[in-house]
Amino acid sequence: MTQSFPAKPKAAPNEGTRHQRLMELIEAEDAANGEVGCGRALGNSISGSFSTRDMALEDEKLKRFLQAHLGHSLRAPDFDAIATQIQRQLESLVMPTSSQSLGSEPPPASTNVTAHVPTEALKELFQSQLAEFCSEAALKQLIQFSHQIIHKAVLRPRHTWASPIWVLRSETQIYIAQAAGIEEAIAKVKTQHPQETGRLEVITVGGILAPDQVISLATNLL
Amino acid sequence: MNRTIQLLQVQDQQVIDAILTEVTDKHLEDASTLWEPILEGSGQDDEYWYWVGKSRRSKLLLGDELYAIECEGITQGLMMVDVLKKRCLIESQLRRRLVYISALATAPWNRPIITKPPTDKGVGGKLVDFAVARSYALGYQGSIGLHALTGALGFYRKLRLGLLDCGPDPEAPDHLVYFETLRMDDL
Repeated sequence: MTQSFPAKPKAAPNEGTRHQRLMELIEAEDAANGEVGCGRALGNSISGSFSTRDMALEDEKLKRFLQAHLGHSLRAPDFDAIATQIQRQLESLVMPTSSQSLGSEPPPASTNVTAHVPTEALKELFQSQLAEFCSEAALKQLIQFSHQIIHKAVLRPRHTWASPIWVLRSETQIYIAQAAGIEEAIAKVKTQHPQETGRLEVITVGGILAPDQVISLATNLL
Repeated sequence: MNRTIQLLQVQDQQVIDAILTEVTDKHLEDASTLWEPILEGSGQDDEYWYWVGKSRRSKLLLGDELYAIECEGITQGLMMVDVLKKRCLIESQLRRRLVYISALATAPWNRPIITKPPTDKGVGGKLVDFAVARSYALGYQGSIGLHALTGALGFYRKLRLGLLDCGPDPEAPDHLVYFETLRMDDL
């Protein structure tokens, strides 16, 4: 295999391997001048619309619901993407940020975003799982968000997106290949550039999080 | 859960022991009383993060867990993970479960941009390694995902964990870059 993704866990690390791993971590840390933070911005306080108890929206139930209502036009990857975004919105509602949004432009006011799934059915689904934890207003907001997310998915179903674009690097070359997965991308490089026998490293991939995504690469990588 | 880990004490270049553990009130108090005054006005991305609030949130949403690294009685790093609600986004492994790192930060004195030289190194990496270990323990085969803060891209690219840079996430606030473990063994 010609890639460089050593993601396997090290079995029972001894002192030597632990020390080596610490040095690797420090090398990575130094590469970012000690900046190691990650995380999406969340608000600083819990919305009063929620009670202080464990709360969750069951993923599989939500996907079954979507399948039942949208199965004629969408597929499993679309349901996954919708469910992920609805979960994300639920979290944002629990701890609202000052600039809470759907992350992209809302549809024009004239667009009927509620046409794809009956509001009553959506309400019933959320109420059955969340009613005891959150207020009517919070549920209403979640339903509104869900309609917008579903509308976006119907307009541009994930299963119709073009294959992702993979940027790979060998010792001397950069390769850009369009393929469903990394193995296919590597195979394409090998077929079309048989002189390439070395190790290929994946630098980045575009088109996984959104269709038509522009790939940005630092010039020092070229 | 208490796990002994190693960090590098920068001043004398010694490897020292620290504890990685579940977050307690003491860790949250350290974040409020020791971290926040230093971060105030620093312009750091986590300047306005509020770990007490994150902890409250973790009690509301199933699957949220908080961990801390503690050394000599002081909190050196904090991490919140979601082990239940997030799924893989890379097409070849779509729908599979992963451990999503919702937030990760080191104490301000461990950041060269604030304190030169920093006190300890390795805190962030040890937390990420723990997220991977947690993922294995849950049967998620080591898969993790995260949205990196802008200054930390180089760190996540060099961690040697098979994290794939998936580019800026259009759905994330500030379009943060999303990283996810690319599992090669299934392909």
